[in-house]
Amino acid sequence: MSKPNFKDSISTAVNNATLTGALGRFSEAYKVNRAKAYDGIDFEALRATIAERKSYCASNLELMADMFQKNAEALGAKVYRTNDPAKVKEYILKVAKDNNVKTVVKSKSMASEEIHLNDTLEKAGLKVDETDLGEWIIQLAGQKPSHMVMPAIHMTKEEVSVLFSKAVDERLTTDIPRLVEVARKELRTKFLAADMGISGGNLAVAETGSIVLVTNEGNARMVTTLPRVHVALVGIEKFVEKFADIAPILDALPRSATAQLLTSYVSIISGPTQNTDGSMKDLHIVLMDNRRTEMAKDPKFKQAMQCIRCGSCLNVCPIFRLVGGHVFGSIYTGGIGTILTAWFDKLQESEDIQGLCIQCGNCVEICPGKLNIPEMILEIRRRLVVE
Amino acid sequence: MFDQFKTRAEAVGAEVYRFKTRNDALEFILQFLQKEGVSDAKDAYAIWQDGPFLAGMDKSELASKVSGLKFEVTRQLTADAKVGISEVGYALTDTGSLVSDQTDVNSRLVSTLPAIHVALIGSDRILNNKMEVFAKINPSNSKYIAFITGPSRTADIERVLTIGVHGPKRLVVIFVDDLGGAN
Repeated sequence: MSKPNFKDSISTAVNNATLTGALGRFSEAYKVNRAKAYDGIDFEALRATIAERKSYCASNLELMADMFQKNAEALGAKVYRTNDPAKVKEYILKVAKDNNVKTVVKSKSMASEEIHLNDTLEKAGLKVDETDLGEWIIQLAGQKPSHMVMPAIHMTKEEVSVLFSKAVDERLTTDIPRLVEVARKELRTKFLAADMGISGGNLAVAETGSIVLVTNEGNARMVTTLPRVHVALVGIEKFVEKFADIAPILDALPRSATAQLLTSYVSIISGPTQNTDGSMKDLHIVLMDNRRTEMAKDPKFKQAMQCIRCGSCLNVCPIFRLVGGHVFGSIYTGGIGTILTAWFDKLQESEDIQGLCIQCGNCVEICPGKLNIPEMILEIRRRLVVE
Repeated sequence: MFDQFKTRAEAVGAEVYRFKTRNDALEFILQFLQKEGVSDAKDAYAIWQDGPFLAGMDKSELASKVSGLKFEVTRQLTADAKVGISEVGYALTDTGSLVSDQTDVNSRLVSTLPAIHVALIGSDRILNNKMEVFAKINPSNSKYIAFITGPSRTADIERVLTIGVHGPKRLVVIFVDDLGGAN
């Protein structure tokens, strides 16, 4: 039986004209733009390569982690591996304490959202600022991201204007370029002052110990350059084996995520580099399992490890388009979010949301990792019944 | 190949120029800096990171031509600069991207903090795609490989494309034919 608040949240979302309007307009434009972005590319061949390369890593997670650790440490990075989200938080807090860190700037990391890292850091007295514009909006609003690539897609410029006005103590209009300029100014000061930068990682390359960051705003470049300490929190589904494997994923990720040929910035970081004061960066890479190994060993769900987190399954989902991300009630939203919630959170947490999938198969057509999300959701249904 | 790059790069908002000689490019850059109001005041400096383009040039003479043009890269100066000038390694035709070894933190400062990034590159450094550039640049000696494709952008408010969030608001790419081996 659905919990009453789940039904309420759906009816609120469906009757929210702003939300359904924004999502509807986006999903219409997305279809056309995505097709344009893939013009001249053999998508079937590309996704076959990605699925094969990612599946190989999923079958050899321990080996990939060993290789990554050895190579990253040889370059001077410190690598910490754990299955336990609590230990991730403990470790990052310790790094902060050891380095006398007071302020933290973050670039977008779904892995950090997954374990509610900000709560922990703030409770320990650290000042933490998200710097991805969408994430900053969500942080100011005290909300969770509603979409893994576009975290604030559910918010209007009016709402953003109110939030920013409060943050900078100035009455702002709803002019979007002006709002973006306000964020630029406000966050620039924070970048320059921060002691520690926390990033995620879009890819982790085992054979070279590199992490790859894909962004449009340029915030990840600042987060990894300006503060003297850098912590990269990476879920172990992000492994690729070879340096050359970066290419097919970079070919697909921006095209599928936002219909771009490439994002404005891609940074491939292999070991620490110098800080602006001439000291060496203290670079920590946290490899987080949080049941990913277990998922990779489950024959029905191993394919979920092929996900490159582009969010295209949300963009073509007729249900997501109607209800948005927040009804999923968890960090990861949409069809893929239902699966990740069942694993990283717990199976019961997916009980309500698994029912949202109508098995239309739109997402199967466009997934660059060749995931069959509807099939996995059916399996969740089956297991919930068995339980 | 230049034309292909130019088409792709302009499609994502970059400005692309090409000159035969270093002197032609230099003349353009000096005029550009003046036009952009570069001056010896906070938020108006131009910071030029040293590189092969400047080999044999008299920097103090250049600095005397444009007040506020500096050849010293520091965190504070770049944070207070309007324009950053640096040389980049490769240009890719398939995505209109620049690719560079930015292990040197200064190359990141000048290409990240100022509102305008002017990127200099030899016209012979154009490649087709990522695989070609990965054959030339590798992480064992390039610890921070940077791809730059157009200016900084966001669409996080109502999916409206807005240029210049945290990184540069303008990316000006200048190809120089005779930079050749000097690059």
